[in-house]
Amino acid sequence: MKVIVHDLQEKSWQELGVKLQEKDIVIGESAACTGGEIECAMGSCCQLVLISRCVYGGFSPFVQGVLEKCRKQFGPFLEMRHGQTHYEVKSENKNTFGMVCCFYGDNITPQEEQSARIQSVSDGISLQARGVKIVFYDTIDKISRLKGIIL
Amino acid sequence: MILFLDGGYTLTAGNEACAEIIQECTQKEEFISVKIEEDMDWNSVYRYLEDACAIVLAAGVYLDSVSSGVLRFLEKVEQAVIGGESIGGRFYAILYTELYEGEQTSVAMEVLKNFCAHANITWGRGLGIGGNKMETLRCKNSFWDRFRKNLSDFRTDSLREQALFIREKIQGTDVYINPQAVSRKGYIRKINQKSKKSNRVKFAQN
Repeated sequence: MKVIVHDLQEKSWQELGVKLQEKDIVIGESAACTGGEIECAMGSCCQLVLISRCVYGGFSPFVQGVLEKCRKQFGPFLEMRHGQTHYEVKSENKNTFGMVCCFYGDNITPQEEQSARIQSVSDGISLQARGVKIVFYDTIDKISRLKGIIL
Repeated sequence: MILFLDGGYTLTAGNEACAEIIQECTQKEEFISVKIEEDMDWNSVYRYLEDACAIVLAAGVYLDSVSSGVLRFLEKVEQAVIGGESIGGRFYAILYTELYEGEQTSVAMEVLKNFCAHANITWGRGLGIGGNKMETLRCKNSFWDRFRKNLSDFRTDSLREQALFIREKIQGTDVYINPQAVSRKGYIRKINQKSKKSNRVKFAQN
């Protein structure tokens, strides 16, 4: 099962024609989910796909808002990983799910690209993903290339 | 005028203390504090932004980013600049994390710098504070710690230093701090013990 979080308008999302399976969950601005549903979905998926406008070298407010709703999936306990403190991840899929971060925007500067890359990897470590794939597209149409990456 | 933007402290301590220390060190200047929230009086905010010599954003960091509410606020400010508002004040940031290492706020700090580049605002200085649950632990651990709090708070000196940069409106190198009096392992142990205790209380209450 994969979870796709995107901040695209419904029409743009439909036009991408991403092939979905029955159990897949799509969280978009038009398909609101409660915190509990998001946590449950993220904690059991095999792939987490974040499609976000690149905002100052990070996720857009919507995508960041969805990530904030997963708070209960972490902590409150801390643990040491890679020589740093991190929140303990409670979910069953830790170290097994893959994360794909797709940023789009027509004026992404090299500094913003670098920030977005670091944030993606860092979030992958925090969520205990198996691996993180990061892609950048300058137009929304090009996001359809993700089809080769999404399971 | 100094504009203090309260970006919400989802984490433990320091909200009022941070504003108080800056106000204390910049006594002669007018100090206006604005809480970032959904419904804001944007006309006043634009006026403050235009009049401010220094803009100070204090916010908690979660998953390497400031909150979605703060991001929305920054985007709106950028739009206002595009629309003709001019912001001449320098931008200072104070970011907090519950994690031990202050450096874990550095990604969010870069995001704020990128915002400044977009909105044509001059970057002043960033202060990233790690181990932000320290004060609560100290306060509640013993009776005497209540009296020692002000002296032993590891953040006070760094906040005062940041306040000096704000007062003089000068640029500086970003600084990241953590509670050095406690080791990383010691901090984790204390936080986890406290969480276990509060879990037990919650369980008993339920």
